[in-house]
Amino acid sequence: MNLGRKKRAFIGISVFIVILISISIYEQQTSPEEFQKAARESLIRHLSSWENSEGSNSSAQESFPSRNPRIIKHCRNTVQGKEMITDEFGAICKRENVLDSNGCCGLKDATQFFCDGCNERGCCGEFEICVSCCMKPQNKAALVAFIESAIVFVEHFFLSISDQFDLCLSKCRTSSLSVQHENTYRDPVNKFCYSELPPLLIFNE
Amino acid sequence: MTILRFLALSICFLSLVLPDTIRTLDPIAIVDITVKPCSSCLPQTSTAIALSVYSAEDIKRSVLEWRRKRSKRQLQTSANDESSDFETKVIEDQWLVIFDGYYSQEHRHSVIATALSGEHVEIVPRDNPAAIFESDFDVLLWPHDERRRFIDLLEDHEDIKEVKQQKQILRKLQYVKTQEHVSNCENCKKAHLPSEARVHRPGQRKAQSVSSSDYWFGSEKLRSRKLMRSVVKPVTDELQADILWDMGFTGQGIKVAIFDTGLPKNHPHFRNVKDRTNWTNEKSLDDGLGHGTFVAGVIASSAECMGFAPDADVHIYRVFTNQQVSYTSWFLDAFNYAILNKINVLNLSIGGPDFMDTPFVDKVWEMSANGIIMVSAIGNDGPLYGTLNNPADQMDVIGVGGTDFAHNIAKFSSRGMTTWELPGGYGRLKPDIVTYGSSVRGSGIYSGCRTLSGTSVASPVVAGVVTLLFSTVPEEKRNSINPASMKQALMHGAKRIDGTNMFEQGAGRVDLIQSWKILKSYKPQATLSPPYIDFMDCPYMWPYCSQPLFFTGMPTIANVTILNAISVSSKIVGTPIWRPYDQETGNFVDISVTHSSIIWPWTGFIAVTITINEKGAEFEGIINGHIEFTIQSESTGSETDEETNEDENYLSEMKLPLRISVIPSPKRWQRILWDQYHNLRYPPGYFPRDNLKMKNDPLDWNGDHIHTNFRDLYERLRAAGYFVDVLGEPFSCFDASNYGTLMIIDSEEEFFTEELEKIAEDVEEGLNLIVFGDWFNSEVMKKVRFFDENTRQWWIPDTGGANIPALNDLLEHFDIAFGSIVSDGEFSFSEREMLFASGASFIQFPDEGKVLVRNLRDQGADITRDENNENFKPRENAVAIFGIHEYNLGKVAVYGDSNCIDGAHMQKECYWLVEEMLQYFRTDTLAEEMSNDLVEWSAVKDQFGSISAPERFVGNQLHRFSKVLVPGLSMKKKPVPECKKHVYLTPQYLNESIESISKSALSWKNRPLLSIDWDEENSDVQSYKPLPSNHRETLSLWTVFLVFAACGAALAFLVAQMRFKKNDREKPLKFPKSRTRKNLST
Repeated sequence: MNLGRKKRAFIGISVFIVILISISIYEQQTSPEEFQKAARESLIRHLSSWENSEGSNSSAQESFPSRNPRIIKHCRNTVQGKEMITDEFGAICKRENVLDSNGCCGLKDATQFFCDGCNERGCCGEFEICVSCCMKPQNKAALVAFIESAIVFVEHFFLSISDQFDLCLSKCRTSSLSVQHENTYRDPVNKFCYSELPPLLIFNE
Repeated sequence: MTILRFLALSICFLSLVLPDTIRTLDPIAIVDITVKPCSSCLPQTSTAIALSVYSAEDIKRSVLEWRRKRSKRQLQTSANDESSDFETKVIEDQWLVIFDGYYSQEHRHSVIATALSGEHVEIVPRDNPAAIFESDFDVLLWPHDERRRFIDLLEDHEDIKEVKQQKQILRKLQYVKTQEHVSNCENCKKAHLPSEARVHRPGQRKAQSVSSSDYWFGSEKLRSRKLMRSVVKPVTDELQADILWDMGFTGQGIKVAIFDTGLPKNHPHFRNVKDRTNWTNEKSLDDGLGHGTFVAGVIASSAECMGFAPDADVHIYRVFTNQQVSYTSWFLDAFNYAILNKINVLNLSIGGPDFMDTPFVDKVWEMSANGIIMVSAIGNDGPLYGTLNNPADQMDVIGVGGTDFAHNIAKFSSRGMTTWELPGGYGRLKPDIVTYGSSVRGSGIYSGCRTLSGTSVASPVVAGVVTLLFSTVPEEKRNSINPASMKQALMHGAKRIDGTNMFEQGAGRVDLIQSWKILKSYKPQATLSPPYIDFMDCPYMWPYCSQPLFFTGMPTIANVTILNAISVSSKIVGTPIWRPYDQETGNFVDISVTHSSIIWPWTGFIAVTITINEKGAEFEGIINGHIEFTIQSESTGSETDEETNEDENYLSEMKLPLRISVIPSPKRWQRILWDQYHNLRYPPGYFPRDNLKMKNDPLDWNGDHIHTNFRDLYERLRAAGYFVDVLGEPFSCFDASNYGTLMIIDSEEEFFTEELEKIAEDVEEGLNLIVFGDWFNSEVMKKVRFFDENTRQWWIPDTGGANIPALNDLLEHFDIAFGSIVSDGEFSFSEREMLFASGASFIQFPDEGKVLVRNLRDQGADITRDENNENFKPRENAVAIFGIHEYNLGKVAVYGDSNCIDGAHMQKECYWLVEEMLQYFRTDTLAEEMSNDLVEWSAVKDQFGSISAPERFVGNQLHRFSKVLVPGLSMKKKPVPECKKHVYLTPQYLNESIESISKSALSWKNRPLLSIDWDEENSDVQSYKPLPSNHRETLSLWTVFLVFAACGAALAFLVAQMRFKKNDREKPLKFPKSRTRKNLST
């Protein structure tokens, strides 16, 4: 081991740099906070870009501009509905009107951004209606605000959410915010909320 | 040295704490959870979701307990009954002086000396190894009569926290001496019963139980040895999982979620933990109890004690704290995350009685609707019936019961029908399936293996089986696997256990290989559970096989569960058809059907109501036939939305075979009507237990039905030749001329005015009435309120054990009234030992009526007494607790306590009393021993003049759960509802040979499911290759490894550099002194 002093220092430094780099990679990969933050930011970007593109097409609701269920290969939808289904474009239809080929609601017998039975707090009587209403372009700003303000909705929330439909699905589900006394709903009728507010507390007397 | 000191001190600390907490600290025995005890009120509720685990010790204890109960129940024949029990005893002359901190022995003794200012007392020397360490107590000896002075002196010293009497916990053998019933047998020879009626009577049993105490003791030993022996074989071997492992299936690619107490990081048994999340308010992901680790091990352990699916993606959800606390809201958020993560199989080794926790129940449905296969433990509250736990009792969940390794249903396994449908309907079949749940080996909390029992163990066995089965399905077929199809595969593959009924075993015990074969060629379809109703198939079809149908009987209801794996939502279209196989007999039976409007999620019900009409009044025999109906599922796969859905593929033709046994109507005196309508229970309201001593289970939650907690009474009455019908409607809906006796047992509901009038009239005209009351006292009710940690609110009982004010309304016509004294104690009646466990007594009775008067403890006064009152002495008063009287043609028999006929927490049975009552109704004469004990009311009534009548609890919430009261506090009654009208199906004959159909339909076999071959060209399973493991996952593992290696190198380098410079550097390794001290004193 007859290496010169400089050479030894050089090896030491390079090893140190390599270690630093790998540690930083490792940190990036594992830190859940970092990850969440990145996910949240990309989600906000996604939502706002969608908002802009639709800003140019103002009559979005009536004419189903971006929604042609015949061309689309695959639609995500709410899956669970008893009688109704809402697809990723916010169109709600009866289960029998869901296209078998792609899972979208058909053009006929479907309504996009349907809000009947949702109250001013943004709470609806049916999960599917909640999702459909939540998908309304006007709600996007509020959703973005929510994502920005919510430090963590639940710890792991943002990791699995990529767009407004995902967000609406998750927001509309009943959660810890929906209950009082643990075993009763705060509002047994309008329990599915896309808004930030929890359901109105109803006393059953 | 410091470490040693620390260790020693902690041992010392433990030795101090252990005697008090030894039972709560038992790491395995997890029974009920969540409600923190509160000293002033009735503590510990089990409303909470309970972790369903028993340690081997608990099992042994419960078996012992059960044995003891049974041997007691099996009557006074046994000469004496041995059982062990715990008892705490106050040691008169010993006093515990507790200091405010930990001090050395000298210091403690000097404190005592100064406190007593020189007066000499003896300090009990310590001779245990911990004596040299600091402690916070000493035991002193001084005579009892000087206690006040000493206590005052000592407690004045600032270093002494308190002085208590020393207690000793004793385990002792209890002898319960019961009388030999020689005289009683003479009595039974009087033969005032039909001949088969005496099967269970004490005298006749005597011959079988030779030297009974030895007999029981002997079998006890045998049983516990059996438990030990059964540990030998791993559960995966018993179910032949290795056959599937050898084919390369190990659960790979399947996401299985475990909702439990968490899992320690890097547990050596698990190679594929994908995610650990915490949903509790404790900041930890680790398992502090071992429950979650064990459960995860049974599913996915890959070392030592193998799990079923070692390569499955394990997702750990920590929803229980180390204190076993859990809330619905935690579950809701965790469930949402599981949906987001697209979990395939989810294990819930938890359960509680609250099936009316709608947010939770709705969420479980939502999970199933999203295609997540939910597996849950049915509960550890057996062998009592009516003890099913939620969520396992939900149709869409796979509810798992437990067996031992000899394939007997485990004693602890909950059973009986669901009680959601009461009182109008009939419960569904549960559990769905049973499997090994007794002495199963699984992962220990840090490493190694341990043995546990409970349905908590059976549930992950099935979850593991489901995960393994799921992974055998080729990827392109996995969309046909859903909660319904997996349940079908399990239930149709199951092996039936002989000798037990369907409400104990469901479809039978899991057979992994059989289910795998079914799945191999599975085609989505709809099936029924149970698949048929057969009144001749005993004991499996209990209770249908236990009592035949007859004209004028109350309708018999069979509640059949529909599993439809074709689509998450479907419906029954058209009208179901009743197809009898014989033109003549088919006319004798009226069938009506109700069903779920929408079958969702994957499951629904069809309830068949069977009545015999007048044409069949004289018929005796069997009626065969089946009910046909059509389920329309959603279409899948059609090309465009214009296409209609009337494709026959989406229509499933269902057949429910029926075999009904019919007899001519029994005589009036043989017929008993059981009032179900007026029973209320938890949930929804807080209806307290009928026995106030049962503090660890304060809620009345078993349904109070003759097929749940009153099952033994039912069996007893059936054996005695009586026929019992259930009335799920108001009293206005039955014809009293058909029935000999109406039984109103422990009713909590109010009575409609019309009902009161009708019963008064019916009794005058010859209906007999049996009423079992229970305790009711508004002061006691206030006292037994408790803070429910689950709902975070105060629970105040809505009635007492029974609704005595309402019963008094009913009995007013008969000049009978109960008072508000709550009594308790043992007494003898009719030469038998009886136990009155929290009951009511008369304050009014007809003068010529005969009553039983006994001296009993005033339990009410004991409960409501001022806790600081040291001078309180338990009081006894004379109370009239049983009475009989005739009213024109009918008779009334009333007893003040239902505990002795209720299977829940029964201590001493009194079925004989019910039989005696029925005898008296029929023969007009009382057994001699009985009439000797009774006195006329007029002779004793002066004693009871001062007792107050109970008043309804002001502001009680009964109206919220009552079918009789209008909502609000007015206590006004609704008008009596109309009686149910059944719409009968017109029979459509099927001209086929009965033999062929009924045989194929009814003789029990694992009837094959419809099937297709998934892989026609490649049906050999060997060719299915396991999936390659996840690429990304391996990559990131490599990175981590590299980083660590680099870090290690760097560290080594740095250390080497340092050593160069400073050779003599010493690293202190010390605990800060203050810290050790602090830890102990807190």
